[in-house]
Amino acid sequence: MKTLLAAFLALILPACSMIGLGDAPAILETTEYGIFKDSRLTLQTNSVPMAIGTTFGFRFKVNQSKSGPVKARIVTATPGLIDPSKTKIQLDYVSELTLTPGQTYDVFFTFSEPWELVTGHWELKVETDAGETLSQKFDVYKQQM
Amino acid sequence: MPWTWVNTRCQFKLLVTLARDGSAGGRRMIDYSESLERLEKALGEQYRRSPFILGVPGSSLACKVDPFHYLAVQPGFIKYLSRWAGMFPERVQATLVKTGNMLSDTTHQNFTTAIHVFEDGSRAATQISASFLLAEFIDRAVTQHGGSAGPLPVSRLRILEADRPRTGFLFEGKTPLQGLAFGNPNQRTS
Repeated sequence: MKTLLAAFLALILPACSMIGLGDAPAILETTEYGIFKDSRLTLQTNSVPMAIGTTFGFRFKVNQSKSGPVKARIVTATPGLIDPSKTKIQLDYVSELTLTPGQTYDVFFTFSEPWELVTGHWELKVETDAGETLSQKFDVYKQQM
Repeated sequence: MPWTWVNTRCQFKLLVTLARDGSAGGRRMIDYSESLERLEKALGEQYRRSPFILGVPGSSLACKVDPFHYLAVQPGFIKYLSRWAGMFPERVQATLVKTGNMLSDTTHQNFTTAIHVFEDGSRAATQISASFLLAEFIDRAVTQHGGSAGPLPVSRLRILEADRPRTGFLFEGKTPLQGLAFGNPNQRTS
């Protein structure tokens, strides 16, 4: 009986996906990533030299969908920043926004304070309430003088 | 009528400019009214979650200093608004300046000024880099998207009277800041 049930599920689950009953279709699409200057991509890369004024991240598009606007979280995961005005290590920044289909969004980080200059692995990602995630990992390194 | 110039969004509703937007390094039409609505929504939604971002001297990114203007602390205001809206700071800045919602000089290149501010009743003033935004923009954000029943009241933030001339270049030909926006730390203005 268990074998029959397993065989039934093995047949029916892919079929559900094919007729749209499985995972929701992806609506987020990365269009550019790397180092940006004045809102323009200057270098497509995942390696970022550590310097004040440098902006890195990615740009993504929200494709048209029937579901309309989508709630999402933008997460900037850092190697651990020590903000002198706070008492704990800043491991991430999280902000929420509503994504509108058809629009393009920028997920980025700009080194603007000396205490933000930390080498290591940074990850920028967007997570929708529907469970879809886009992510880009960056390796921030110290430039040789 | 004590003021001579009021900017309304409808004036800029159809403001569409050919400009670089950064996508693939090409040029395409940027609809600033669409970007402005996105900024309004982002600011309003953030206000709904964290009302202290507006109106609290010493804590907020922007405080209303007269019925027609908010003073925004820079570069924090643009930095955070860009994060909340998912737009690069340059685009946030361009949207606010080109739609007239963030006051700039006649060249549209300068929109900040270094001035001293203080909370009404306090004794000390602090120097900041400030911009001025039309109250209409922020009040629309908090009422339409932030759950506020009406426009926010004028805050307790004041500009040092001696710094009044430093603000003038941003208000040429526009509604000037009203007197209640200015004061001195050692005297009450209300």
